[in-house]
This record gives sequence, C-alpha cells and structure tokens, in this order.
Amino acid sequence: MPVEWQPKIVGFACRWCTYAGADLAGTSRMQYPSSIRLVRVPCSGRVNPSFVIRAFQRGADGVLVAGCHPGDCHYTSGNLFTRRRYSLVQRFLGYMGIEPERFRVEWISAAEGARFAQVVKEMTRDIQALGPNRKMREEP
Amino acid sequence: MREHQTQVRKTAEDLMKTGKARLFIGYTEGLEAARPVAFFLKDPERAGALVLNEFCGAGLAKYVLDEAVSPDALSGEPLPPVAIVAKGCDALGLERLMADNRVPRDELYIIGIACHGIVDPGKVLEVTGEEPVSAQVEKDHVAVMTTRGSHRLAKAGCLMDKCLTCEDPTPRVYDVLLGDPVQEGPAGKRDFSGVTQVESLSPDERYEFWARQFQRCLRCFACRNVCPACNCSVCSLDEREPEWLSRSTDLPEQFMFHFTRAYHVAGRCVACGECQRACPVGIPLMLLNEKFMKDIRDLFGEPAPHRPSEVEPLGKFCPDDPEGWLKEAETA
Repeated sequence: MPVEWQPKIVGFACRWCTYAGADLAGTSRMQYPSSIRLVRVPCSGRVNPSFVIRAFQRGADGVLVAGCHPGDCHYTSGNLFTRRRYSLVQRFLGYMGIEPERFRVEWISAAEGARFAQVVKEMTRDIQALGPNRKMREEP
Repeated sequence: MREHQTQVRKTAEDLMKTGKARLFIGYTEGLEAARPVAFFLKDPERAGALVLNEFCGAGLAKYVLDEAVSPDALSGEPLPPVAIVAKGCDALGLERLMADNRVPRDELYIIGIACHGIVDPGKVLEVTGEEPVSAQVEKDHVAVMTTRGSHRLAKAGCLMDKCLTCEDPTPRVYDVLLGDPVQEGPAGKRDFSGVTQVESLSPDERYEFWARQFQRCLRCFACRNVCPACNCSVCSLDEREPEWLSRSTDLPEQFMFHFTRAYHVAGRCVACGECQRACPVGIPLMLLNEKFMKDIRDLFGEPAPHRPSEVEPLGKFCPDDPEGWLKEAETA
C-alpha cells in the first residue's frame, strides 16, 4: 500500500488567538493532519507578504495566515490592517498563478480548536488534490 | 506642448536670473529628436537649450529627491526652491513625494503643463517603420513627421500606454500653468482591460505568462529607481540583513522581486507608467500595479486609487471592509 503524499503547509498563527486555538485542538486530542508547520507571530499584522513568497520559494505547498476575528485583535486594529492587506495579496498571488487552494487567510479564535483542525484538514485535502507546488519554488 | 517651449525657456531664464529658483529641471535634446532627456539648468544663459515637445514623456519627479534638501547646511539660510516642469502625471509623482513627506511643498516651484498626450517613438517606428522627428496631437488623431514623410496616426496606435488611460492630463498642483486646463485624457478612462485579460487565464497559464516576462528581467532596478512611489531612503530589496532578495536572477527570486516591488507601491502607485517606460526588457509592470489598483477600487471603493491622498488605502481600514479572499467578496 503506497504512502499517501503529504503536503507541507506553513501556518502563520497569531499568538493570541489562532496559536491558542491550535493548542486547544491539541489538548482536546482532536485529530488533524500533521501537514501544517506553525510559525507563531505576535499578530497576523506581523506577517509580511514576503514571508508568503519565501515560504513558497523554500518548498511550502500551501500557506495559511490566521489571526483573531475582526474586532477581537489584542492590539485593537492589527488584524483590520491584515484584512485589507491580504484581501489584495491573496488576489495578487492568484494573479501571479498560485492556485487559490494553496493560500488561505482564516480568523480562528482561541476557543475554536475544532475550526483550526477543520481548516488544516480542508487545506491538506485540497492541496493533495493539486499535488506538490512547483511555482516560485527554488530547486531543492 | 511644443507651443509652450518658448514660455518654458523664458520662465526658466527669469527664475534663474532673479534667484527665485536654485535649479530648473526640464528637458533638452537627446541623441535622437524623439528622445529628449532630463536637463538641469543652473545658468540662465543656457535656457535656450531647454526643449518641450510631444516626446517629453519621461517623468522628472524623482530627480527632486537628489536636489531638494532644505536649508543650506553651511549658512542655515533657506535656499530658493527647485523649479520643475511637470505634466499631469509628473505632478502626481510630485504629489506622491509630498504626501510621503520626502519633499516639502515650498521646496518646489512647479511649472505645470496641460498635456494632450505623449508620442511613443517606439510605437511610431512599429507602425510606420520610420523614426519620428516631430508630432502634433490633434483632436482625433496625431500628425507625425518622420525622417521620410508625414503620417496621420490613430491615438491608440502611437501615444504612450500611460496616456491612453490618463485621468489627470492637467496637473493638480502647480505654481504656474502653461496652456488651458485639459479635462479629458486623450483616450478616456482606465478600464483595466489588460488586467482582466490576465485574470481570464487559468492559474497555470498566468504563471507561465509571468514566468516568461520575469525571465527577461536583468534586475537593473530601473523600475524602482524611477518610481516616485518607491522613495524609501533604504530599500528592503537592497538589505543584506535580512536578505529578502538574493542577488541571483533565478525565477523564484524574480517573482520575489516583482511581487515585492508591486506590493510596496500598492495603493501608492500614481499610474505614471515610468517603471514600464524605463524597463529595458519591456516587462509590462503596469499590469502588476493596475491589478492592485483595480482591487483597491473594487474592494475598498476608492474611485481613483492612483491619486495620492492623506492616508493611503493600506494605511487605514474600515470596520466593515470585505474579506477579499472569499469568492463572494463583491465589489464595494
């Protein structure tokens, strides 16, 4: 029986919401694919769009940027800037040819462990259907 | 344009003679008749070398950064301003620099030119096979004199790309305006047709398209260096620590470069088209800038995202902004 190909997903998780949400998913023993590698950031507003390109360059098959719901930002407005920024960046990545399944922005609160698990499951499934990412990728 | 050449020379001479300006930035003859170059006039006697015609398309805005330094460092005396010739698009560039606090308004003396469009010598060569020598933009066509004869050309066929989508033919800021204000650009409004064309391709085709464009990139940084919106004193693309961009010209680095350049001017681009004009390998950079412009217009309801404003679209937010990554994120 062949081993199923696992995508590599880089997740940028805000330390106040999504990272705690991922923690909750873990402590609650929720099952989700081990395809995601979380990078903890102080706020989703910290995620420079160049991070996303760099992740694709270095072999990520998908990238997730996740933070608090609008209105719940620990820094009041960080994620509201993020929302504007990534509304444009997500569309721009698509414009450059990255498939929409490979890049997602999600609002996941500290209480939403199940939501976190769900997003990782969905992304893994979608990217498995697409196969490995070759775009913008440096030769390994 | 040509009809104002005498006025420009006279204005320059007066300003320099009376000491009302410390430098006059305009155009002079280049190596070819249809390719005038920037000219920095300090000696009023040389004002006769200034030219102004239908080929003066290069933007001069960025040059003021090299020149506009406030009070004289030695004496502490404030210096007279820098005078600069500016068409509608150049004035937008100057507005950009002022909005970014790179140049104070009183450091500039702007000679505004109401513009009817600039002739692109490359396009004329393509259409007629001859080098243009002079041109006159008429109401519904352009009369071009070439080395071998004269031609009546359609505007779309011989004006610069930026002129075909121009919305500000008359400068919005100036100290003196030459010519009557022009209300309409030579060919109507920006319709983002180029962007829509790329959007209609499949993701793989889009990637192929950009890969083909970026493969030619020499990484000469001309696009960054001429751009009035790219005016940071230290550019992240030059940084060695952290090194966002390696010196290699492999395709992944080209994507990093072009993504970053376009993103850093998102919401700040004034659509002057200088990047595309300066690109030695003809990469359609405005297609990248216009994508951001189109999305800013659609998502955040900015009617004219190319006009510098108090706060940039990405420097502010509304509580009810749409989430542009959702399929149903509809236009504002």
